[in-house]
This record gives sequence, C-alpha cells and structure tokens, in this order.
Amino acid sequence: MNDFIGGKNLSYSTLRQFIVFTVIIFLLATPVFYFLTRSYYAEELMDVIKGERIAQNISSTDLEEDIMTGVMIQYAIIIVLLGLSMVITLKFITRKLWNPFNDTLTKMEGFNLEQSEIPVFEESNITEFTRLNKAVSQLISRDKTVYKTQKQFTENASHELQTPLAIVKCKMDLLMQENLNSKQFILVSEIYGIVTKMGRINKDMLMLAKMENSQFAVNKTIELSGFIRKRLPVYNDLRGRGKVIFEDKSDGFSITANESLMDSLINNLVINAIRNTVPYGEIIISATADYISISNDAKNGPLDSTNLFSRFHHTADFQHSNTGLGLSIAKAICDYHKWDLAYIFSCNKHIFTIHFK
Amino acid sequence: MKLLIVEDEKTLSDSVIKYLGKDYLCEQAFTFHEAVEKSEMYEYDCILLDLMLPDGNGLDILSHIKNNSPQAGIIIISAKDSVNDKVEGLKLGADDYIAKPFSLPELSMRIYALIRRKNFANNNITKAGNITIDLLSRTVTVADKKIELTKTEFELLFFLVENKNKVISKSSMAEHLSGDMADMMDNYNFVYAHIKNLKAKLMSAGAGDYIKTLYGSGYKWDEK
Repeated sequence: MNDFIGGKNLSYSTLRQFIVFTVIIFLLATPVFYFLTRSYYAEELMDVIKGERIAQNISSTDLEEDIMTGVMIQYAIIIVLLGLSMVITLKFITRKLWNPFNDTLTKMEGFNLEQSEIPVFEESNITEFTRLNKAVSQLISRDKTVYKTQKQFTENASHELQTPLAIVKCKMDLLMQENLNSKQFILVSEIYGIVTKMGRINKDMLMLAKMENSQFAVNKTIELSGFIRKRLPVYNDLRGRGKVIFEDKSDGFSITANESLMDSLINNLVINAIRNTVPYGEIIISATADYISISNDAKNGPLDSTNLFSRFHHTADFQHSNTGLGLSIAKAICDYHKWDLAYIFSCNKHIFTIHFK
Repeated sequence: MKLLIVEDEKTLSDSVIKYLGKDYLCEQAFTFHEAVEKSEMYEYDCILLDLMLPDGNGLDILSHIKNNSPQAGIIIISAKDSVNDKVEGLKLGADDYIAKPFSLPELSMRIYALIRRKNFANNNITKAGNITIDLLSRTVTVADKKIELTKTEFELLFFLVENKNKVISKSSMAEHLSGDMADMMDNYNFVYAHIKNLKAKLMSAGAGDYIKTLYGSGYKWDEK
C-alpha cells in the first residue's frame, strides 16, 4: 500500500490516494451504471428508436417520469460512491499513511527522560513526518545530554568534596590537640560539628544522585526481623532517655532490597522519630509481612504533608532532619524499590509506614 | 611499627603523619609509582591506600602491593562510600575500609585494631593506668576486679585508650559508636550519657579518673 504514498508532502499524498481510489471505485461501479441505463429510463428511449425504425405505432410512454427518476437514482449512486471512496480513503488508507505519526506520538508519550533510551522512530517518506522525527530525536538527545551532565555533576561534585572535607576534619582533629582555651575549644568544636554536617549532606546528595543513576542493585534478601533487631541496640544508644521498641509480627518475612539503601531508609526514619519525639516518649517500630511502620509521640499537631518529602524543606515546628534531606531520602529509597511511603497522624502520634505492596 | 600512607593529597597525608607520627614510623607515597617502589623496597606493618591516584588504577595498586608486601595490613581510604566498593576492595585483599571524610582518632583506632589482628597472639591485653582490657574476651579489670560494662561503654573505653593523650571531639566519639547514624542527630548528648556511666563504673571500681572532659565538647584519656 506504501506505493500509493509517494515521497511527497502530506496533502499531496492524501489527494493522490483519494483520486486513485475514486477512479477505482467508479470503474468498479461502471456495470451498475450500464445496467441502470440499459434497463431503466433509457429503455423507453430505445423503444422509441426501435419503433421509429419499424414505423410502428408507439404506445403512450411514461418517458418524462422515467428519465427524472433515473437521473435522480444515478445522482444518488454517484454521491454514495464518492462518499464511500472518501470514507475508505480516510478510514483505511490514510490510517496507513499516518502510521509513522502515530508511532512517533506513542513513543513520545511513553518517553521518560530519566529512564528511556532515545526512541527509534518508524521510517516514513512523508516529508513532514521525517522532519518531525528528526526534530524530536534531536530535542530528546539534547535533553538527555544535559540531563546526564547534570546528574554526573552532582555525583562528581560530591565525590570531589569528600577529600577536602576529610582534610578539614583531620586539621580540626590536629587543632584540638593544641592547648586551646575554653573559648577557642568551643569554637573549634562548633566548626567540627558543621564539617560533620557538611559531610552528611554530601553523602546524602551522593546517594540521591546514585539512585537517579540507578547504581544500586536490588538483589539482597533481607529478613525484616533480624535486620531491625540488629540495629536496635544502636537506636537505643542514640535514644538515651526513653525506649525504642520493636513489635515483631513479620513472622520471618523477607524482602528483596538493596542492603545499603534499606539500611539508610530505616535509619533515617528511626532517627527522624528520635529527633522529633517528646522526652521519654516511646518509639515503636513494627514490622509485618506487608509493612514496616515507625511511630513517635508528637510534640505538636500533625505535620503538613504537602512538602514533607521534598528536599531541603524546613518547618519551624518539625525538625525535618539535620540536613533537610532525611525524609526525602527515605521517600526516594521507597520509590527506588517501588514501595509506598505514607505519613499519618493518629492518637497524637506521627506514623510513617513503608508498604511493600 | 612502620606505616605507609599512599595518598595523593599531600595536606591530608601530612595531617595523618602529624597525628600518628609518635606511635608509628610513617612514610608517604603520593603516586602509584612511588607506592609500588616503596612497597618493594621496605616492609610495612600497615599501608593506608587511597584508590584514586593520578597515575594508576586503584585496583591494580592494591594487587601490586598485596604481591610485594603480603605481610602488610591494608586499609583502603576512599571517597567512594558504598557497599559495593567496600566488598570489591575487601575481596581483593584489603583488610579494612574507611570512607572519607574520616576523623583521625577513628583512623588511628582502625590501624591499631588491624595491626593487633595481624599479630594477635602476643597482643590481646591492653593496659591503661591500673585498668586492664582484654580484647579477646572483651573484659575490663581494675586491680584484678572485673567490672561489667555494656557494649557501648566498652567501645568508648577502648576508643579513648587507643587515642591516649589525644583530644577526641564528641562528634568523632558519636561516629565511632553509631557510624553513619551519628551525623543524622542534631546533638551528641547521647555520648555524654554513656561517658558519664563509664566514668562512674571505673571510679567505683577504684580506677583513676583518667577520662577528662574538655569544656563539654571533647574528651581525653589522660593518665597524668
């Protein structure tokens, strides 16, 4: 059918197809016209001619009426045939013509800057479509390059920062060995704390960048109960006053995850709870085969859930995290594993739940 | 004890020497070439190795050094902090792995622990003042009297003793105890609570008051 399309522009190809089909249909309809003429209104005329020839008396005819009806029928058939040709052309033949366009459209709809490869479009000899495909391909590959550079930049920047940060930290360690007075020592300690925090932000950004680059393999079977139990002493160490309680209803349930991401996810949520709970308040980690939830007693009311998981979002009443990245990292890790992270406020408790689906 | 520091960043390498110089005989290598040369010529007890050197692939360096000085313990210092890198490094024969940015007390502790592991037969007991620490059974005795410490308290005690006479920031202590999680907290008050308990236990067993607190934000093991 592609032979009908030709290497020209869109309107030319459509017109050409339409004409070809109309001609074909009319050729096919020729016997009908012949039959109509032969056996309907022309019949009377022929009778007249025949009668003339044999000088016969002509009986009265309804010639006028027959001609009118015949012409009307002929007219109707022509309209129907033309219509048919149009419908066929548009419905079946042009669909073929527009196939490359639909293909391009489908591929663009399914395109995702983060994940998809640059799509290969169906070849077409329609100039408009060729131009469109070329433009789209160029646009996508340019965006891809920009996106890749940007991602790489975050990762490289974070990497490059680790060494200077290590140097600052080591120099601070050395500075502390000098006999500092209290004022100096406290200043040095404060800077030390800030450098540590910078290191944390840097690590977090590196982790986010690596997740965006899909550099973590989800390949480890993790048994929930053991995984949490192992970390419980450290959580309790950090908690100091008040307890971190583990309610284990997981019944030996295991998930498949990336170990370091899973570690970071649980740590982030538990430490978030520790940092935002009331003194001596309980922190409860519960695990089942469907979810892990981490809850703590709220200092104030429910949190504004709109920006809860966005990066570097700070609110007055809620300490998002030391760096402003804690919950957004937790969210990103859940997304990475296609889990759902939900926040609810109930019985004056903040509850974060990871649903494994 | 001989130590080779393979690190292209001179300031970092110098800082390590300044901190460890009294306890170890330290040498520096700034390039792959130098590292290979030195490891062929001398014997080291421990080699600190940055895998990202300008003139060579990190993993090549590791296998080279492993061939030249099989007796040396190797600690990888890396800007890359991921389980994969760690596993890869350890698979190739490194003994430990420490991610940048690290603190000097932590590094010192790791080196000590590694050297002790390498020749563990003769070196399981550490003495500090009138306190004896048995690393194998993880017990602490003061004048032949055993004292019960929690795991955290034991870790703190050993960390302080290993960095004897050095000031350790509260943040390094927190990091030593809880690794990655410490810097997610907004204060390190939990360290204070454990130190307080440790101090009380040591004092009541008759040990000297060796743990000095510096202006509420640093600690030092001082036997004077």
